[in-house]
Amino acid sequence: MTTGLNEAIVRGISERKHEPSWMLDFRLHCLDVYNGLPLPSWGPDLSGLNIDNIQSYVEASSAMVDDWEQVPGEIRETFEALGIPEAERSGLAGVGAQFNSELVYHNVKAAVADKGVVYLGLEEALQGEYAEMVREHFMKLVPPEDHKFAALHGAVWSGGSFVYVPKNTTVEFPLQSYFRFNAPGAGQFEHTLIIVDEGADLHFIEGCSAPKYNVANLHAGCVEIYVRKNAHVNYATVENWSKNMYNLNTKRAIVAEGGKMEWVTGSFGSHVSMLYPMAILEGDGATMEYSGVSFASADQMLDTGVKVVHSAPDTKSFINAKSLVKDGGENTFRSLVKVSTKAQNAKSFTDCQSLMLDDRSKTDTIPNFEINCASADIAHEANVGKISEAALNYLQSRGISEHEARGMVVRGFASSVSKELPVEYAVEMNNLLKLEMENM
Amino acid sequence: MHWIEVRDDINLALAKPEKLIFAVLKPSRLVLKVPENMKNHFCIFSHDSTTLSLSLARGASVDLEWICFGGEFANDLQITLGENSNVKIRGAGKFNTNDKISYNYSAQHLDSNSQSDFVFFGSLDDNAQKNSTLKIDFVNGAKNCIGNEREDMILLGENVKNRCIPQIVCAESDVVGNHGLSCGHIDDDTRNYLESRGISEKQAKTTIANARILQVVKDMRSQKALQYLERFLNV
Repeated sequence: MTTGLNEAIVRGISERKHEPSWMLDFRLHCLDVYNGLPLPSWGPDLSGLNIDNIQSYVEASSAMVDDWEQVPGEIRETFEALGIPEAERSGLAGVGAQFNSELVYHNVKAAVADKGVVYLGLEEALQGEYAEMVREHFMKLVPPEDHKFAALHGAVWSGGSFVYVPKNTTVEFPLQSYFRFNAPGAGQFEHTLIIVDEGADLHFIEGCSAPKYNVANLHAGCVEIYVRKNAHVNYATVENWSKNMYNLNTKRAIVAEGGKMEWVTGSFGSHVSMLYPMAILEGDGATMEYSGVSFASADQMLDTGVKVVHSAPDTKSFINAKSLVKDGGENTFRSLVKVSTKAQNAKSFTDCQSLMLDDRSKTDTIPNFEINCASADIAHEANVGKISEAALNYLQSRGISEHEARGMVVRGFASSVSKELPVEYAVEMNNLLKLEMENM
Repeated sequence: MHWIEVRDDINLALAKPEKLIFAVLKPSRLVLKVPENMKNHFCIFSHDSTTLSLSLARGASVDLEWICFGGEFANDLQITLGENSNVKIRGAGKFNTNDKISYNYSAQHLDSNSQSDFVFFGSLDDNAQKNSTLKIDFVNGAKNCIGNEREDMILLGENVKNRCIPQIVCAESDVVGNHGLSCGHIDDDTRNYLESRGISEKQAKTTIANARILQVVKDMRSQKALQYLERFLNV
């Protein structure tokens, strides 16, 4: 088991994957950039994360397959317990399942593939018909120079998916990627590249989980989404990493004229999270919507939020963020709304609400606005408080216990986010909320 | 109301309820300490960099109007609130062509049952820049406190840069904190109405920018302050 990060490890990863030479050159460039960049000077404490103790790559025991029956027994049982094969059968267009560093299963339903929808493992896409498309787009939205963990990702990425949806094609059921950690002290660095062509429509769901270990795990994945003219993408994540995880993920979309990008995020796990999905609205009339809920409890520091850049006229963004804290958890909502000089008539509205469930915890709201266009209309509101005594009294007067009443209020608080999810995932989110409240 | 021209630092522990107007003409620091259960009313006209350190003891109460004139300078307003104290700050600024103004506002609730209210109305004309950070800080133990902060900017010209970071930092559950921010331009209905009354676009901008300031000071009931203000607003 090799931990740490050096040129030999990067070369070893590339060699195992039989990659084109440009990818090896790119990885080595990223390693140089990583070594030259400092850790962020703001945000949660990352001192417990030591890259020298992280295993960047965990070798797979089997090759990727497209039939669950061929997945090795123990791994298949893990995903069955998580409900992934059942979800695929009942309501998904395709699934990619990653176990530690490698995809173990990847499949797209024939009816979806017949429409020309491409859903491949990214490493597979590097080699064949889509090689040039991947090369043209890979880490252009999130360049390695962006920040230290983008550079780390670029050096040691492994696994992940490539999605291409052709023009005017609607993928009626969601595609899903599921990421499972099983190795203590490991890092997971999957890369998701999604290109949705003009007029097309895609719903993508990302799920993740890991057992808890006594050592740190690191997740530094990357998601890049290209929303072409008049296309629509909904990207939903329900994150329930174990509480030894450092979740330092980067997600970014660029939206062309008339396009719409929707981020839906539920953050419940991790010891430390730094997660700010971002959209660049570069085409006239492009739109971004963000709905997110974050729940920090004991031993968690969740620093999450969203960023949007309005770079064209008539662009719109809507941000709805909820956060909850209890048992000494720390939650920070951090956002950026930037309106460039070219963004005439841009409109943005942010609503951020924080609920404190006890007085041992901490919640900070730090939104940032940079408005450089006189015709923009920008509004923001935020509030922080506790569960209303009047609401609790009312529910208790109807025979509901205080404990159940608190749970109802919390689920109601998060409902504007959970209703943006497919029903199975909304149920999962509500179950996670219920679990957090039961531990109070 | 007593008028004080400020050209140097002032450190004032108030001995009795006062209504004071400070005209800050040179970069200065104002340290104002309001003792227990005293009610005071201040007004600050900032023509240059103003650093205000305002501390309220138990039961103290302060109303403050703050008018920031244009130029190129930074301001810092730091408020600390003791038990049962409250502060209400109404601010306004008219930032003209090429002005570069920044201000920081922070209200730290150190004890229970205090309330802070801050609102700032501003306008930015051609090439003007404004950077602001607002912060409500509820420390642990600041039970039953309320903090409100709001900034409302109207953008009147081209090449404006408006930056704001309104923060709430909270380590106590039994509080209510609110912040709001809005930033926009003269709407077409208002513009058309004023033009239909023979008011040019330039005059309309001046009227609207002045109105933002006058709405803050209209309740001061100080003739001297209003006359002073009108000189600078070209009313």
